[in-house]
Amino acid sequence: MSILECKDLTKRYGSVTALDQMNLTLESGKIVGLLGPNGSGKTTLIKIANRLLQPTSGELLIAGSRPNEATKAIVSYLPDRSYLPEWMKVTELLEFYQDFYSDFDCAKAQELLKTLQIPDGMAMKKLSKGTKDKVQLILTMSRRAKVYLLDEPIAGVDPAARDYILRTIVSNYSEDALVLISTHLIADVESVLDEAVFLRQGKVILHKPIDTIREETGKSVDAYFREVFAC
Amino acid sequence: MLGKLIRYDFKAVQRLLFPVYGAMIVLSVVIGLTSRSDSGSGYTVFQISMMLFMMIVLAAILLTIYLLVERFYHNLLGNEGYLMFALPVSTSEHIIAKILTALIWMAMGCLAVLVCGIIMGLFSMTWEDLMNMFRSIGSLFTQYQFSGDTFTQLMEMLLIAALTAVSVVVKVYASISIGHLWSSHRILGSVFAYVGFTIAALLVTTQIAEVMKMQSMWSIIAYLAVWIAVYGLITWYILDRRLNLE
Repeated sequence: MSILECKDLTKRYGSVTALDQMNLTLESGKIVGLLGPNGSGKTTLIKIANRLLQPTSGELLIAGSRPNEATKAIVSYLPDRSYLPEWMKVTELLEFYQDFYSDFDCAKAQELLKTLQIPDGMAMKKLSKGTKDKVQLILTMSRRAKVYLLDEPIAGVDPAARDYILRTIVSNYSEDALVLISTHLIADVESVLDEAVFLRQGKVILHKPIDTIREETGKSVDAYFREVFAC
Repeated sequence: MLGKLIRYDFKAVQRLLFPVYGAMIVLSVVIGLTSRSDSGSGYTVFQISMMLFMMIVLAAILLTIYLLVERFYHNLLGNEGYLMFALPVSTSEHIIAKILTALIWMAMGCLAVLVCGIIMGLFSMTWEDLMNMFRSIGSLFTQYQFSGDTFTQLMEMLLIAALTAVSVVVKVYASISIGHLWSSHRILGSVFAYVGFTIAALLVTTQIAEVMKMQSMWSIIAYLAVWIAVYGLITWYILDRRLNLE
């Protein structure tokens, strides 16, 4: 069953077209890479799915409805920036998530924090950028959501932490959920993906299972991406 | 959900304003204790603490205003907006939570000053003064009958004060939201919007005042309610339909 669907989805900022009559259908139970160069519309798509932006025309549906309070309750979103209040302690953030999201698994979050040895009594502003990113990821992945929208989850962290983050994503998402990972660091995420969506200038130019891409082109997705988007 | 939003907003402000209230209360005790000394070091302490108290009250007022603006701007339209608008909460709940938090903090500020006044009085009075005061309060209640009318008038005054406060707060929120429509210079845009609103309100008010004459309390209440609705709808429309976080 399709959990996320775009129908002729278009978003313009003044004269700039970020999404151009995009059509895309994504199914539950898959980890999908949303791949494209900078400015191809990845973040715009994810923001529309979270109702942080309204489309200019067309529509995006999550479990059959346009983004609203009900869809927000089943979507777990990781923005591409530090978005947590700096004054809050990690424990206070756990309470916050538990208060607002009924699907938040606090025990799981605490366990992940412990494994990573993140001191939960510290205020966010006292943590390093990399540690903040990890806290954000832990909060996002500790929800039992139907859709995970992860915008550049690995861009800001070192390669060793990247592996850890990807392992966290793979081992923590609910089996029947859709995980959409937006990134341009394809080599790093390739091993965990089921499907890849290539985005160019606001249009989907390819949407296939990873194995199919490898079989058809005889290349890794990373190598194929470099070929398609060669400047 | 509304209660939870208010609780977190309250927490964010409380950690900054409570210490200021604490300082005000400590100074009130000092002022009360030294107020009866008319010379020597006691008097110097009294003068200094009185001056400090005035400065802190002024700082508290400015800090409250700053925090109410800052909370709306950073929590909803800054990076934290990515957290807040992703919550399963409606836009109107976000706005109402912000308005109620603002109202609560303005009331808290008034309450803090009132408590300080009482403390100063209690600590400056002798036992005899205190007994006299209680006696006169008691006789006030027995001599003066509070009629229903006095009570209604008091309630109306309080309602008008609260509505005036809310209308100013929502006006600021609407201005910040309009500034948000600019892709850059958002703060400048907000200031222009605020000035624009003020001029528009002035023009409309002079027109209406002729007709309504502003005689009854209820016409003032209705007038304020209309402005709150207008500013509230502008804020809601922009946050719900035209949101574009940086």
